[in-house]
Amino acid sequence: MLTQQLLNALVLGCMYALFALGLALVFGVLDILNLAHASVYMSSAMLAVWMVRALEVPLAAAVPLAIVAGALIGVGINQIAFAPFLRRGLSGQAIHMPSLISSLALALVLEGINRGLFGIQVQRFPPDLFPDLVFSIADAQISLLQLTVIVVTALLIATIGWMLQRTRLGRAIRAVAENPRAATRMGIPVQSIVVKTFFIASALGAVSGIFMGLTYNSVHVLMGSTVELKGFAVIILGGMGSLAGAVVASFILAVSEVLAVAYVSSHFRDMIAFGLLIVVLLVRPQGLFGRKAA
Amino acid sequence: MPFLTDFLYLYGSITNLIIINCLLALSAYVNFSSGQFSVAAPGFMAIGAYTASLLTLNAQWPFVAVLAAAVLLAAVVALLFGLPILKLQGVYLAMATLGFVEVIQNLAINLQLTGGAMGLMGIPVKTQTWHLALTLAVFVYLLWVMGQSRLGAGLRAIRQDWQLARVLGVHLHRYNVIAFVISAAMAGLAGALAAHTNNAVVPGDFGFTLVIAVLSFSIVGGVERLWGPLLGALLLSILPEVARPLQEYRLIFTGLLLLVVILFLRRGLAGLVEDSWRSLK
Repeated sequence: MLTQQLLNALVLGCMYALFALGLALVFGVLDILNLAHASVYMSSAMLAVWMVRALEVPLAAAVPLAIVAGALIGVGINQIAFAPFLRRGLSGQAIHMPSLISSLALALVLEGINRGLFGIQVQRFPPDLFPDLVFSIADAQISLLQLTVIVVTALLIATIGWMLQRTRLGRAIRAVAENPRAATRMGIPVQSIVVKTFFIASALGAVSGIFMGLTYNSVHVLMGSTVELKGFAVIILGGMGSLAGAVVASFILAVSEVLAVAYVSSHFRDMIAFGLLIVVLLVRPQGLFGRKAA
Repeated sequence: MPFLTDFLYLYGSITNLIIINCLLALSAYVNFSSGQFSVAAPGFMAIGAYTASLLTLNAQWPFVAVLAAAVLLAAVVALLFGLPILKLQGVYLAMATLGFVEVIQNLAINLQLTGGAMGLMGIPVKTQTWHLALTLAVFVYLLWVMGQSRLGAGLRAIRQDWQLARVLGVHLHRYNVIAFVISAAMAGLAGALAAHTNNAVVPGDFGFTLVIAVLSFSIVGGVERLWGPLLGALLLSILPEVARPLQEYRLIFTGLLLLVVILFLRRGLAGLVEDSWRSLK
């Protein structure tokens, strides 16, 4: 029983981790919270369902298309909500509030668009998209879908990690994250790096949304709001500058949630994230691995 | 005053809604005008609403006592929560207060005491429009006086440059907590009054949607002047009613409005009005 719960927590943690990684990447590079990240998460899932149901596109094609769409939406979000402020040369604290508001505004617009296009009903993927295979590990069961989530997440995290450490793009991203002005002087095209970061981060959010939609077979306009707040809790717990922290904290949150639901009560499940958020902010604002003090 | 009574008969509930939104906007103004990025107002409104409703329904307290209790409880919670949490700034404070709103909403949904997801019903309608109008007038006066006072000057200084303010002797944390508690008390009173306007208190009313609404009042209206958030509240409350055919596009419209204001009208509509006025002279 416990093994099963931990397995479920692992899968949930993977999805949280992908989402949080996207949020943390943007925060690392721009020092801003992207409040429209959850909109990308939701929009990609909605698009995937729509493509499969209405256009009868096979899942294997719909998923990559939805991911790319989500990534492009993310880039669009940057252009509209963040780039104008960066161009005006604002930085640090001065940029925080206006860009938070503008990303929030875009989140509203995207919710409205999705609502208008797809309605407010819960959407579901058609049944039997994934072969209904179930494996047994110890005394627990794991479906092919869950296995896919875990494997893909591991691959994505590993790839991102490798990319950041070993490629030119990765080094450029880290340079911009550390000091945009110095990076510019070193000849790094900051604007272009920011765009690429948003593409990657939003793609991660999209994958997270699609997986979540598939796993719980429930996709709707408001699915972003709970995960968004959990995402904040996770990156604060992990430390706002830290990608590894975001990943670790995601699993901590997932395990806490699953155990609380199993052994305490399902009512207060969502409160765990919020409670954790407040406690961490009070006790250790820089989180587990944070590099910036609050 | 037959005109007024007729008007209120037809438009009473929307007038009440507008005034309540104005009260909330002023509560948030206290935070934003001192540079505090707190979005906690809906949480304190919920505390006020539920306290008042429970006392009316279960203990049959008189209306004034119920309102006083709501204000007091909101203030106490604000003090307890604010003391530790106001050491945070900017985005961190925003997230903590957002978490606060969510926790309160979650408690309201999950506790038996507060009627669960259905909320509390059958609350006698005790609030008259003139109660709300009077409260609004009192709030405006209070904030005006505060603005003229040392506290107000200190809060303005904090907003403009908190490091300099501290150097000049403004006791940051104390002033921040005072502002936070005042704003919470105002939101609590608004909540208590609102609860007795509508027969029912539902937890869904006190969540993220309200957070965005209150934030919009301040952004669209502008937070440099006292009447900015009032303008924002008025506009954003009337618009959905006036533009009924466009109901479906409400979210998109609100989002676009916010976007336009934040990108091009940093000081909000109040700033725009002031600038136009100045250039007309």
